[in-house]
Amino acid sequence: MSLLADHWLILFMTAVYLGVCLGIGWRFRLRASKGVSEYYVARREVPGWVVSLAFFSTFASTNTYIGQAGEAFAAGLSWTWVGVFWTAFCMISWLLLGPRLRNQTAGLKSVTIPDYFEFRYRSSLARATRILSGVAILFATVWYMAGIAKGCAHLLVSVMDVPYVWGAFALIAFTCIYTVMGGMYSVLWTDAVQGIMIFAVAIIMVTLPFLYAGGPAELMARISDIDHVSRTGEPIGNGLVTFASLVSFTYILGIGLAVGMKQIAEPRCLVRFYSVDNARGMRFAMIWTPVFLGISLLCVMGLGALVHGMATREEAAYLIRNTDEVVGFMLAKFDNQAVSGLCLTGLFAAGMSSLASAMLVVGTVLVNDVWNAWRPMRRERIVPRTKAAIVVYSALVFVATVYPPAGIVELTSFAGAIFAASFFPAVFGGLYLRWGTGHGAFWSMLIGVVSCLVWRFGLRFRFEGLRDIHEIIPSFLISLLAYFLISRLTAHELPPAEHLDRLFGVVPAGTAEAAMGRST
Amino acid sequence: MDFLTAAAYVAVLVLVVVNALIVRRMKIVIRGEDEAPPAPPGGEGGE
Repeated sequence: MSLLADHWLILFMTAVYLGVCLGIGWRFRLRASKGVSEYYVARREVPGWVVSLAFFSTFASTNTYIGQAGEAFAAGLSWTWVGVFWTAFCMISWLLLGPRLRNQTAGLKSVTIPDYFEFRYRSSLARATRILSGVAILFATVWYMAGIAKGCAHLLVSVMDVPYVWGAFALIAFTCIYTVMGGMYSVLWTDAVQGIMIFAVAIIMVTLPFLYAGGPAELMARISDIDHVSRTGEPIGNGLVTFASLVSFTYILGIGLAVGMKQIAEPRCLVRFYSVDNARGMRFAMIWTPVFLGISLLCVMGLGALVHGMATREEAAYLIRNTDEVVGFMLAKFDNQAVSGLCLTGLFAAGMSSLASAMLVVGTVLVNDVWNAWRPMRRERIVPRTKAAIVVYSALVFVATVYPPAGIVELTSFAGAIFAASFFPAVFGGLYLRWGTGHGAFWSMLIGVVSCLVWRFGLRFRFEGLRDIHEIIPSFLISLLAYFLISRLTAHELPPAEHLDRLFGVVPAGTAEAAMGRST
Repeated sequence: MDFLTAAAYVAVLVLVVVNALIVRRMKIVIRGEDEAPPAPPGGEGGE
C-alpha cells in the first residue's frame, strides 16, 4: 500500500507504457501467427523509420543507460569516446551490411542469421555452421539478457524500493508476453515506441545534474577539481575532465569495440535489416539510425561523471564501487516524482526493447536452427514451438538475473565479443566475398569463440600487461584471419557458380532477371 | 574539459553528418522475395 501511495505517478506512467506494449502485441497477434515469415521477419514489410528506431532502441539498452552511463562515474567524461566508436559501428553496420543482407536474405528466404549461413554457403559444413551459430547465440545471449534485467531491477530498488527479484521478474514477464503474442511485428513496433521514449529520456537525464547543481558553470566547476576518490583510492582531482586519466584509452577502445561491434555481428541487430520494406525506408534508416544513437550517446555516456556533482564524498565512495547504481542514485537524489517516472519508464523501455529482440532471436534460433535442423518438424509447428521456447528461455534468463556472475558492462561486452569474433567474418564474407566458403565460415566461428574464451579466462587477467586488452581485439583478428585462410584453402567447397551469380547480382544480360534489381 | 575529451563530442557530430552525405549519394536497391535468387532445396525459411 505504501508503494502505491509513495510512487503513484511512477506506477501510473509505467502502467500506461506497459499497456501500450501489450496492446501492440495484442494488435499483431493474429497476423504474426499466420506463419514463419510473419512471426520471424514480419513479412519484410515494416517501414524504414520503424526499423531505424527499432535498431536504435534494441542496441541502446539499459546496459547503455545504466551500465555505461554509470561507468563514467569511475572513468570520467573520457568515457564518451566509447560512444564515438559505437556511432561509427552503427554507420558501418547500415552502410556495409544493411541493403546487402536485406536482399540476400530475401532471395534465400532466410529468416534467421544461422539459416542464412546454411543457405548462403551450401557446403558440407553448412548445416553444422547453422547449428554452431545457433548454439553460440543461445550461450552468449543469456548473459546479455541477464545484464539488462539486472540493470532494470537495480533501478527499481533505488527508486521505488521494489525487491530486486520481483523487479527482475516483472520486467522479464511483461516483455515475454508481448513478444510471444506478436513476434517480429510487436517487437519492431514496440521498439519504435521505445526508441522515441529513450531518445527523449537521454536528453532529460543529462539535464538533471546541471539543474541540481544550479547550471552548467556550477556543475563543471564542481567536477573539474573534486575530492572524491577513484577506484584505486586516490583523489580524483581533475581526472573526470582529463582524457584517459582514470581509465586507459586501451580499455575505452576495448569496450568501444566489443560492444559497438555487436551492431555488425549480433543477430538481434542484423535481423532488423530483414524486415525493411523498400529502398526509401532503407535510406531513411541508414541516415537517421546513427543520428538517434549518436545524440543519445552524447547525452548518456558521460552522465556518471556529471553525477559526481550531485554526490557527497561518502556517497561517491560507495558509488565508485557500484557504478550500476549511479543512475538510480541520480534519480533518487533529484527527487522529483514526474522526472523519476519519465526516466524510469524510459529506462524500462530501453531494457525491454533489447530484451524483446533477444527473446525473439533465441526463440527462433532454438526452434528453427537447432531443433528443426537437428530433427525437422512440420511447418505449422514452428511458430507455436518458438513461442514456447521464448517462455522457457526467459525463465532461464530470470535465474541468471537472480545470480548474475559479473557487472553489467563486463557481462555484455563479453557477450558482444563472442558475437563479433564468431559471426562477423561469416556475415561479411557471405555478403562480399564470392570466394568465402562454408569451411571458412565454420572454422572462423569456432576459432572466434575459443579464442575469446581463452583470452578472457586463460590470459587476460593472469598477466598484468594484458588486463586492459579486451578479448574482442585478438579474437576478432584471429577469426577474420582464419576465415580468409581457410576459405582460400578450401576453394573446392565453393557453392555452384549459378548460386553465387544470383547472390551477387551477376545475371546474364538480356534475360528477364537482368531487370529485377529495381529501386522501390 | 581538455581538448581530447571534448573532441569526442565533436567526433560524433562529424560522423553522423559524413554518414548522411555518403548515404545520399548511394544507389540503394531493395528486392522482393520473388525477385531474387530462389531458396535452396530444403530451405525452411519463408513461406
